[in-house]
Amino acid sequence: MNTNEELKLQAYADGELSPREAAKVAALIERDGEARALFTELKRTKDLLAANEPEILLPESREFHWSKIAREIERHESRPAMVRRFASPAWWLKYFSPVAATALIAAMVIIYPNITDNESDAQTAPAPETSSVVFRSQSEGMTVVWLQGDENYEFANPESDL
Amino acid sequence: MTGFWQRAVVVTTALFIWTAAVIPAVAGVKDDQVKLRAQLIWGTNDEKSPNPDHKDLNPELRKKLSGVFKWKNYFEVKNQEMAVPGKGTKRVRLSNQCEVEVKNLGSGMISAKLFGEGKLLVEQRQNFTLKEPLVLGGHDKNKTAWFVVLSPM
Repeated sequence: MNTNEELKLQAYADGELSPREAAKVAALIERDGEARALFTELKRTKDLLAANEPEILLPESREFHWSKIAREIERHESRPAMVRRFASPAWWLKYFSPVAATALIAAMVIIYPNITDNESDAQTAPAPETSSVVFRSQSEGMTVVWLQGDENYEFANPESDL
Repeated sequence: MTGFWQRAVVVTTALFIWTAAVIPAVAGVKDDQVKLRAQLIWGTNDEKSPNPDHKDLNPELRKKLSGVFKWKNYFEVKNQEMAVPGKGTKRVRLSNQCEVEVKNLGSGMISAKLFGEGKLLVEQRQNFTLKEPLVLGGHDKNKTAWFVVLSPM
């Protein structure tokens, strides 16, 4: 007996075959002892399961069970609106998020020019007709701008003051 | 979902506190006035200045200048304190020919303009938060030199 015949036997036991196929399987059971033995085993197992299926019963009536669920839903819906409002963080987030974002943008607007200013500690823009050399003395800790040119300015000479 | 809201609350609160702390601090720095000392100095190899009004330079600045320049002596011709308000500009005359204009750019940055006989000779920006002096200098008559030193106070 092959697998196909075994499956046909199982289907026959479950009453799932067409009349024509059922007749064929019935003939097989009549003439084949192995098929008959398998069919008998399948039929016995099926009857055993059907007779011993456990029945689960609620410890309370159906109406009482659903009424408990309904009461629980009503209890949740009747909680004060203020309690629910404050219990959720979203109520103040919707105010503080825009405020924080605005503050952040304002901070960036204020900070950005300072960042660009600090990119160069010292910049020189010599006036026309004047050249200058800029250097920083690391040892003395000072920045020097030295003016060069054909013309000497007598800014500090005592003879100019006198 | 609870975890998401908790993270959102923490991040938003941190952001708010940070911005609340940073904005006044940054704004405060920007509005701070800059105090500085402007000095006109004469550098010479002579032992004394013929002008009795010239004063000996303070030893600290004298040492700094001597460390960079070749002149033996340095005399203070003019000493002027300046207080430049936030985003403001101040101009002082250090001698008949020499004027200096300081603009407060905010956050400790200044822009110094040196004028000779009314003409703009040079403009220099300096970060005064470094607490270092800015020295503008050039050759003067008879192999001497002039220096305009702007020192943060």
